[in-house]
Amino acid sequence: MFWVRDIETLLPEKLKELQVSLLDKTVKQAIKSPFYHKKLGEQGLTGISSLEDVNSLPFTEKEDLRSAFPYGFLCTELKEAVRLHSSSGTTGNPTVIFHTRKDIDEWANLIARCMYMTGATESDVFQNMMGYGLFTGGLGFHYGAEKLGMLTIPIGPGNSKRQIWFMKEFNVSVVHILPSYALRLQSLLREMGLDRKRDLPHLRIAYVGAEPHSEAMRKKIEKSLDVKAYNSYGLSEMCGPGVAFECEEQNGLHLWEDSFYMEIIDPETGKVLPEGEEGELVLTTLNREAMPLIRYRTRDLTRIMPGACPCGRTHRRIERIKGRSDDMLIINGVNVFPIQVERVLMGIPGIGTNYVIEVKKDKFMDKLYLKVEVDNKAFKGTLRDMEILEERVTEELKAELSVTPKVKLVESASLPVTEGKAVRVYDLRNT
Amino acid sequence: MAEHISIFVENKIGKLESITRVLSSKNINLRGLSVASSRDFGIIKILPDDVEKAYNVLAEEKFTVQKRKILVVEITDRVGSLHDCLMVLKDSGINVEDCYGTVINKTSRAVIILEVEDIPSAQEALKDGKGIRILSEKEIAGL
Ligand SMILES: [Zn+2]
Repeated sequence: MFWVRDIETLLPEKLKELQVSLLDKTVKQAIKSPFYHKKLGEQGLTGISSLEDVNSLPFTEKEDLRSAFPYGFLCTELKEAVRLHSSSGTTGNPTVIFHTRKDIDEWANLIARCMYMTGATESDVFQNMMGYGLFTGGLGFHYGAEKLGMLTIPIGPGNSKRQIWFMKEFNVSVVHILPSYALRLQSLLREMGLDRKRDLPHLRIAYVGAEPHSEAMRKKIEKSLDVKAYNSYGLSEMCGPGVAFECEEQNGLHLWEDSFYMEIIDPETGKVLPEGEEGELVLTTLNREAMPLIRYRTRDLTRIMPGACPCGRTHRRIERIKGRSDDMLIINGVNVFPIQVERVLMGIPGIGTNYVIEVKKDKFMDKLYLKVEVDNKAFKGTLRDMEILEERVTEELKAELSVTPKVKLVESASLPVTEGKAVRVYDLRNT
Repeated sequence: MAEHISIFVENKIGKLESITRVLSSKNINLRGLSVASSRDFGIIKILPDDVEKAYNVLAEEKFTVQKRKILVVEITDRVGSLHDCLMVLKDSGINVEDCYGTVINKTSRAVIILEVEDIPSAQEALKDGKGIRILSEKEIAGL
């Protein structure tokens, strides 16, 4: 289902033409901000006339957003801005993103487009279990769902009993949920004596995002909840969710190229890589008024999937995010992404869904420690089976990571669970 | 078919106590117990007087538990009787996966709990063993 058929199926050449004109507009708008006025002005840049010209534009880094706090990127008068979102900085200034009324409307439209693409309609009832507030996940989907016309329940995260009560009483059919929470939902239902089929017969779609997760985890969510789970990608610097989204093919995420210009670069050299190669995603906003960003380095690692999607959309797809370049752990010189660990664990029967990764220094060497919950339903009851399971986890991780982890099986439900984002990685090397 | 309960535990101080505490708080008695451990974890096996109740209580408390089928065999409490019993099984080609025992004070009998791969064959083999008797579920509950 196409929310805006003309745009979603625009021929690649036409899409490129559109991008050139929007990029030029964006550069001209960006120059109105103190930051870009200086940065682009130094290079004498006033616009672009071809996609090749993009190469001459400078990158923008998260650090730039911090250093220009609070208004250094604002391109309009403050009175034209109607909303700000902010990401919490653990150190230094937070990053702050401003939106005009039109920016919010464009964003809502993008999310409506995403949800409509997966088959959600105005007849659906939507429960938004994501955090509202400065975080963009909650409000982004909220506005998109209303734009689409769904009955929207703005429940936010937490309080599982109340979540399930609303789902049951209002025949909720679509949810927006953290992947780690989606995996627990089935057992929460059981604990409340409820049956998914009997008590939540309408539930059919789950949007999962905000935490990087593997394909194996998606399959687990789909199986345990008997829903279609769609992967969502976004970042608050671009707007929030709605940047890229899976269609019903569930094979890569269409990145909306009428709203964002994408490049994949080598994170070390900054060189643009050919289509299909893996690297860091770099995005330029194409429609933003209050705060356009040029060649923003997302730190997210992915690749552009070559070829057309059977769904008919011409906007190119990116692969599920492989990891963030700043999530990457370097273990004695070997690059390890937490998502690789998850992919391996999800593929091993007998292993539960919760795990914790720790990196410590041991006699000047990095050592990867892994606590992995066993699946109580798959527990057979013998010591030998558990020893074999531990060996298998160690061996499969070693094959995937080229690093030998120290694996420890722990009891099911023994690792801490949060109702917010799951924290699974602890780098204890500098403590 | 008789069953006992297997519990997966991390090797941590107080783990066994946490199990016995839960069981005693629900008035569940233990007839037998064994502990086997690896480097970081272990398996505790218990034979409670009420298997179903003990299993539910432990599962509710989020222990990683499983029920396993067993044979409970009564033998004479004398030197060599356990060996005789195990020889019967060995001669019939039956692999014993786990085994632990308990002595009944009031009598001159001992009771052993056996986990074997092939329970029907083991039952058949032990049927005619001298001084060996397989206990019924009712007898186990009454131990
Ligand atoms: Zn598609």
